[in-house]
Amino acid sequence: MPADKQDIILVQRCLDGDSRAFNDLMNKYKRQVFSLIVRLVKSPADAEDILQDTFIKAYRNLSSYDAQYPLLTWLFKIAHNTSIDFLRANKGETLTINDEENPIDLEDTGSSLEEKMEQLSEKELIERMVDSVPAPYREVLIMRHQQELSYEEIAEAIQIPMGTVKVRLFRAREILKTKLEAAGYG
Amino acid sequence: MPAHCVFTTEDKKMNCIELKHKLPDYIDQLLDKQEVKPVIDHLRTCRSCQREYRLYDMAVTSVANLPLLSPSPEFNSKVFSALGLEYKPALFPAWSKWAAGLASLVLMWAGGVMLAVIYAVSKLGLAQTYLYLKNPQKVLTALQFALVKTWFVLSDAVNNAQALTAWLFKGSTLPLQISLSFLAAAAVVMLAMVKMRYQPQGRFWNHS
Repeated sequence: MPADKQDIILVQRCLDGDSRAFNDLMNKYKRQVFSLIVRLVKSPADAEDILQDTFIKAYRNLSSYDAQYPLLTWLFKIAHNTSIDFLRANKGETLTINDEENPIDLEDTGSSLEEKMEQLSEKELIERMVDSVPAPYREVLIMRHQQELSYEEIAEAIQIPMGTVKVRLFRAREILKTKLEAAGYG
Repeated sequence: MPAHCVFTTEDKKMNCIELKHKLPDYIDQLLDKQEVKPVIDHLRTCRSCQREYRLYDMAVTSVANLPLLSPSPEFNSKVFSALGLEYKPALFPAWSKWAAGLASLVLMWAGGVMLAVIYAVSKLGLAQTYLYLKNPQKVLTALQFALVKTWFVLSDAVNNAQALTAWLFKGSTLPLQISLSFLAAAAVVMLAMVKMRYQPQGRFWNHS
């Protein structure tokens, strides 16, 4: 899906030096990008720093933006790379996995979930279950079902083949489904 | 395959294993119309797969319903400061656009009603207006009368337009009439396309 016409105009205004257009652009997308980053790094404070870096990089590289993809996909791509750098530097984690070599253990949902159920509201519990899905799978889940990106756009944002997106999304949903089942849903 | 599942591949209908393969694409609405029907038919009759579908659907819905989070209110100014740019926040908050739209709509209607009232009072005169105010039911009757009168005027206009069209096309053949209509329609479409055409001139617009 190509870029939205309004976004193209906003980007053009930014390139022409209109800083208010960049302010509008941030207001339009900061919540979506921030939500993705928070789900990835699980810390709102760190997520805000990453979001800041994301928009700074976006501003400095606006001239290289290709309107073949929506602006949000491009921002997600920058946010993904910035998050990877952050996780590598700070937590020794990574968002990349080898989908073929590391099949996910679907039985890893322990009884602790059932214990937590009694203390948490359903909404909180489900949110925690989503957060407990491994990061690379969680990322595609959020992009596909919360941000409603197509497979192609996810592939572009994470820079992986479309087939891998499909496999990763399938496994992500299987993991979450198993967690829901273990918690007594369904 | 669960023991209670009624469909088998021998029946040339979908079985549980096939459904499990199709379910992700069904949830993502990526199946063709002809592929959707067997899935629905199977789900109607197989409890085990219904449960599978419910869980799948719940997994997807739970992610879709996650709240969108906001960074701190100072976020934009921090980015501007890091970029060395002067922060110029919007003069009015985003909701003010909607409020202004709504206010102008209300004002427009209020203005219209006021003009109508002024027109009615000037037409009727103060004495008649006073009488109407005393007996509001009479206003309804007067309105009905005005509507019928307007309807007659409009009917006359339509009749005149029909007469004019008949006179213009007098003696012409049906193919000529169709051709002229087609040309008129094409002209309207082309004019609209020219008006709506978007011509970006930005350097970031790489694809043709």
